[in-house]
Amino acid sequence: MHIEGNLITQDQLEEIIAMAKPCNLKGARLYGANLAGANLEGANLEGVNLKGVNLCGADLEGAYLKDANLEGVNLKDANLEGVNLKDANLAWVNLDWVNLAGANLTGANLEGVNLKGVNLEGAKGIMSLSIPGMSSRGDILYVVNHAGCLMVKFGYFYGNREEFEQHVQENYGSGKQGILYAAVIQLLHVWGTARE
Amino acid sequence: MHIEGNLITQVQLEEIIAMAKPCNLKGARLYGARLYGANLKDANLEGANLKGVNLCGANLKGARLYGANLKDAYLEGANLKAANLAGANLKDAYLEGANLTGANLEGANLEGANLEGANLCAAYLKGANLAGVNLKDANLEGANLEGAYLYGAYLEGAKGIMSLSIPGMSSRGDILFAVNHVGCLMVKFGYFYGDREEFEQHVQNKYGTTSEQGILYAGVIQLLHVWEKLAPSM
Repeated sequence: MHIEGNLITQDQLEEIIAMAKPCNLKGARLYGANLAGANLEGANLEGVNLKGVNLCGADLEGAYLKDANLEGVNLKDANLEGVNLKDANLAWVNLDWVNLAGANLTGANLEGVNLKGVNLEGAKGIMSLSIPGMSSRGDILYVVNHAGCLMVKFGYFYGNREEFEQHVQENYGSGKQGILYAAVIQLLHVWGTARE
Repeated sequence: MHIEGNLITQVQLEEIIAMAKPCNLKGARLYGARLYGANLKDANLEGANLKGVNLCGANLKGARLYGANLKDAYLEGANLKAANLAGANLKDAYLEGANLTGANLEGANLEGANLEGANLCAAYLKGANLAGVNLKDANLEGANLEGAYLYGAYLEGAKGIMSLSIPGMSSRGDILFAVNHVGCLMVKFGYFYGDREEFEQHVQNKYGTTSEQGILYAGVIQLLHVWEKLAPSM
């Protein structure tokens, strides 16, 4: 069956997934498909338009999603560990409790995405910063940048740079940690400005 | 039985270990010995030749291993808590998941050793050679790394050190790592390893001060500078 550029029906799709692993769906058109809970480990989904596809709880560990369009897709509870999302469109996706550890997010569009409950350990293509003493819990600071609009994830905090500044001012004031955070915020500012 | 400088057979070794604790194997030649899971708590192994010896899971808590030869030794999961390994040769040793909490590793040679997931909390690593060491996910909280040589070390996921990754900072996606000791900050970034001043010079030579990257690095150096001053009291 020729996949690239072809519209794949739900029956065909289930057949492909059930067959040889990892499955190859490169360039397929999957409009309206239901892939909830599907095992797509290591699947090739390069350039696939997944808009409108249900991927809740799907296992996409190590999948190749370069240039894929996931705009507005519901990925709740999905496993995206080590997934390659280089230049993928993730605008407004639901990432509730998604595991993105070790994922490649270089050039991915993360506009409007809430990263609050997302595991980003070892993810590439985003800013990460860990300084001993910065957090008693050893939290890592993660930052994504969209045309100069920075979104910061740090422990239980998730918000933009201004909100983060407010958050650390309220928590640490002008003490030693406050001084360290001021330097972190200054770096965020430089990075945000440089990429505008 | 005279031990120092002598080659000890497996039978003799088991006898010695089973006898009085802590056992004394100072200066012994134990090449090829099987010490898997052995109880060598507080043992005196100063200057012993343990090259390539299998000590996986052994209890070496508080053991005296000063100047011992542990090259290529298998120490996975071994308990080396508070052991004295000063000046020991641990080149290419296998230390995955080993407990080295509070161990003295001053001037030890750990070049090429595998310390993945090892616990080095409060370990004393002053002047240790850590070139090319795998410290992935190792715990370095409170460890003293003053003058330690970390060129080529793999530090991803290591705790207790600073790590910074910014998209666009390095075309190779390099992560910047920094360790801080009483106001002396050492930076590892790609192929570079040196103190903060040398790092500043390095990036200025490479990117200048007015380019987009030069400005970004200035922000990074400012953060390093603040941390360098604050860390001893944090």
